Amino acid sequence: MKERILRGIPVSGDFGYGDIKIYSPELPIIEKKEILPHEIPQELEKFERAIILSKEDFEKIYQKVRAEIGKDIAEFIQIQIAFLTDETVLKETKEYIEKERVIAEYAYSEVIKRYYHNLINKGKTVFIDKGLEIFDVCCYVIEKLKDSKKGFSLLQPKEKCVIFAQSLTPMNMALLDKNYILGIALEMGGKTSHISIMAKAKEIPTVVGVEKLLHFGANVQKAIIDGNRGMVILSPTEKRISLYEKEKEELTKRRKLIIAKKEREAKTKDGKYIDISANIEFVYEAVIAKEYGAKGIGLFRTEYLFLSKRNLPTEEEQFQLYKEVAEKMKPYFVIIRTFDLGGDKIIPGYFESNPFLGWRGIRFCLSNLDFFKTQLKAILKASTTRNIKIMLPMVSNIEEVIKTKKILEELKEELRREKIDFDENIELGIMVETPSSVLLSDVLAKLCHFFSIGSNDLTQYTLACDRGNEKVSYLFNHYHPAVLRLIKETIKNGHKNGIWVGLCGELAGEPLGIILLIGLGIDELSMAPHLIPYAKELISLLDTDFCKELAEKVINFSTVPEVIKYLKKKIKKEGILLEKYTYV
Amino acid sequence: MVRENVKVEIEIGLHARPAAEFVKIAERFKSNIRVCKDGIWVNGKSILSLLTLAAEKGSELILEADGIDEKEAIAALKKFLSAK
Repeated sequence: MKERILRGIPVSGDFGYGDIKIYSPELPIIEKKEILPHEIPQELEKFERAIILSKEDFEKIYQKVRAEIGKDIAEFIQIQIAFLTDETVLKETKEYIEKERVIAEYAYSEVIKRYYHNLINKGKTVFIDKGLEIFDVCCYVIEKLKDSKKGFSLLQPKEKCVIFAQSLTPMNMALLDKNYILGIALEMGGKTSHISIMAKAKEIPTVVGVEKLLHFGANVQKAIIDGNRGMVILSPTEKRISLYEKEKEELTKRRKLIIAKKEREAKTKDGKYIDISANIEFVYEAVIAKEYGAKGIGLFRTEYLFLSKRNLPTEEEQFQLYKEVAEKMKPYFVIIRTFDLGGDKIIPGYFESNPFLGWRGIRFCLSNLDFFKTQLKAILKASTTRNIKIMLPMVSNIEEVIKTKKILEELKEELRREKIDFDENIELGIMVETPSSVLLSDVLAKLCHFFSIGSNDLTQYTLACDRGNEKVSYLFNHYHPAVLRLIKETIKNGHKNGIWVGLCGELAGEPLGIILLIGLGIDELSMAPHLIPYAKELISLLDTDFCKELAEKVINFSTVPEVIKYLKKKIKKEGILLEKYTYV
Repeated sequence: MVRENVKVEIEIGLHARPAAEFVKIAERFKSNIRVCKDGIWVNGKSILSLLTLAAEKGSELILEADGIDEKEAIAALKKFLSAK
């Protein structure tokens, strides 16, 4: 087959080469085959055996995920086991085999389809989403029945492969085993979508937004996924493969050199310290962050707790998790961002036409006080480790901060009365991610202990562009002078009021961004763990005056290309090879 | 046989995870368990059937248990659905 190159958006580094597995949320089409009456008992037995074997496999996956990733995510596999052993489905399948005299895989897929259509007809995305997972389990059973390689489970691929899919759910992503999944290519998604952020954290080569991926990839055996350049190469030639392998070898060498020095301080040539911390979402990532030399957690996202649970996670469950992360990160700080549901992190069972401008972040929390108080109390209780800070998402007015502070005071008083220990000096900060919070940052700075600029959302709101919408995502650029001016304003107002200012968007992990931000006076940069060693290496070569000059210059430009061109030219002149400090 | 009306108080409704828990509780009992919403009855020990009810927070369900431990079964399931 001839080599063919498809282009998409590069998400995370390196390349993966292997057999293509197409992950489809649809059931494989099973040919209807009739059986003879005397074959029925053996067909029933075959079906029962397949269910038992699949159940055993999934129980093994459960144990593995529980040990390696954590109990909360593992619980999700128990749902899969519940689908697998659903007594009505088993009964109906057996009846189908007996009545229609057909092979088990056909009967089973027909029964499952019936349920699936029923769920879709209810029109609940929540349930359709779960449908994907039902099929994952069902494909697995069908594979057992057919004894063929066609159907496959994301959870337990038999051999190493690259995945092609329309899209994946965050839960799919969390469960992927990177020892088997060599690369991911998706039709949907933008660079900063949630899936992409997770792919980066897992360090799986990923390309998203590849048009007609499934169409062109349908009958192809092997592919290279180049996460640096955003390319998917179908049926690559021998020459291409060896070129990639050579490149990888060099990258690995370079990476080793940089990672070897990961523990050093992030200090510029002229001696300015920058706090380099990590963005994490799951408890296990705290360990990874520390391994990469993070001096803190600049952003601990807590939404997944809610998205993966029945009801709200209880105070006790939250307390355990927060405490675990805080203990692991000692003596460094951990900034817990309160639930930021909404936007692209859908609230189960709730729909709105314009979620990014809707009921999300602090707005959602302040209108669900029980829910918010439970989280704040869990954080306070965990704060006995004395290294936890609280951060509020999506603040767009002063009242939100004042209200939260009042609630926090009430909770503290409650704990004092109950004689429960907590950190009396726990710091409260806000995410600066709306233009209004930037413009009011002089006032907000007097109300909190720190700012962390959420540059992804700030860019999105400033440029009025939904980064997940492929039609307008080209407008999304955090080097836009309008965005840079807002960042400058935030840092200035923070410093004027004696508080530190960090940044936890994608910009914090990009070499150009790091140079610019240091020039603008940033105190802390929080990024995906694996980017940390690169950031430190780059910072050690910088001179603050040089960065300042650059920043002051570009802030007065009026277009993105001007900014980028100027930065690149000057940095090259300074003798800094940007490519060296880009994680690729 | 025992029947009782119950209002779903689970924040996210009878979504996959709570439905799995519901089935787990139901399976502890020997009784047959059925659940009804808007006139549709389904097997309470089948997660997929429960999901097809699409029971959101606030929806009214009828629980039915039939068997030697029917009373205990109803009590346990009702407690689960109505716990805030």
